Amino acid sequence: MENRDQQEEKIISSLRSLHALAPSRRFTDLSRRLILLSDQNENYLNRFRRGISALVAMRQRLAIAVLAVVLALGGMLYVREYTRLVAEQKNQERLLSEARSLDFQIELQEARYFEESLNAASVAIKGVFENGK
Amino acid sequence: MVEGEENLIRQAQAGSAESFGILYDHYTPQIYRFVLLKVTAREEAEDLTHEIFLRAWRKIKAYQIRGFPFSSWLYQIARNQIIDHYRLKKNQISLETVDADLIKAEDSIERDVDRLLRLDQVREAMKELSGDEQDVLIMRFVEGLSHREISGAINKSEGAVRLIQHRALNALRKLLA
Repeated sequence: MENRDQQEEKIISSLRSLHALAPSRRFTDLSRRLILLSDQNENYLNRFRRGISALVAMRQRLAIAVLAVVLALGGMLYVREYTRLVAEQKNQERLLSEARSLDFQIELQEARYFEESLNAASVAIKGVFENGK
Repeated sequence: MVEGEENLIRQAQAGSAESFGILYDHYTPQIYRFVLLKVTAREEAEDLTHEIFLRAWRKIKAYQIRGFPFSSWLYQIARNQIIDHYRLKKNQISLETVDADLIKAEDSIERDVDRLLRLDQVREAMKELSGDEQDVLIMRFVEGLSHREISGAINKSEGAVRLIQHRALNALRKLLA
């Protein structure tokens, strides 16, 4: 059975072995750089100012982002509307052109009808005169 | 202590980042170990260690050279940071939440399974000790500080430090029996 001293020696030995624990190189490099770049004279007023600047900068970025989204959406809507209007106008022009062409066709047909009718009438009248002599 | 430590401190107080960087390089491993053994999780230990040295860099002009090593002052900051950390966290760290990396690190230290188990038991038993008792054991046996250096760190006399050490080892021995 271990005596008191031996037990304590084992405990101390265990504690000493923990000396091998170490921070990672990645952590110490980053931490060191951040600390040495920071303002040594930072007091509460500077920290407050820095906080406000960060907040303002963030709001500015947010405002620009919102504006960009609005402009993008607005642009998309404008393009869609413009395209629709152009298409509608072209459609109307086409319809108008078709209508005009149709009118012309009707007129042409009417003219032919009248001509034929005229011819027929002329033949009939001639026949009547010739028969009447 | 770092060679030419007083000179480095004065230069850092004058604003020399390079001088503080040398102090940082020398003391980070021991402060990190101290914090890690108190909070157990690696990421928390890294965050706290960073905060400790950031605070030291910003407050170094207020530091007065009184014959104690610079580490004593760093340990004071570390103890206060850990107290604040626990005040915010209000958690008990159980063995189950021990960081996996810490276990791996210990595994690389000890290949003997018996010793590894005992190491784990010692760490677990240390949680039952008071803050001062834990601090004295870590500074004395993990970091190898003298009683005088520890007294500067925890703001107690050398005699009080020896007494705390004796009580802490006694308590640990009973817990592990």
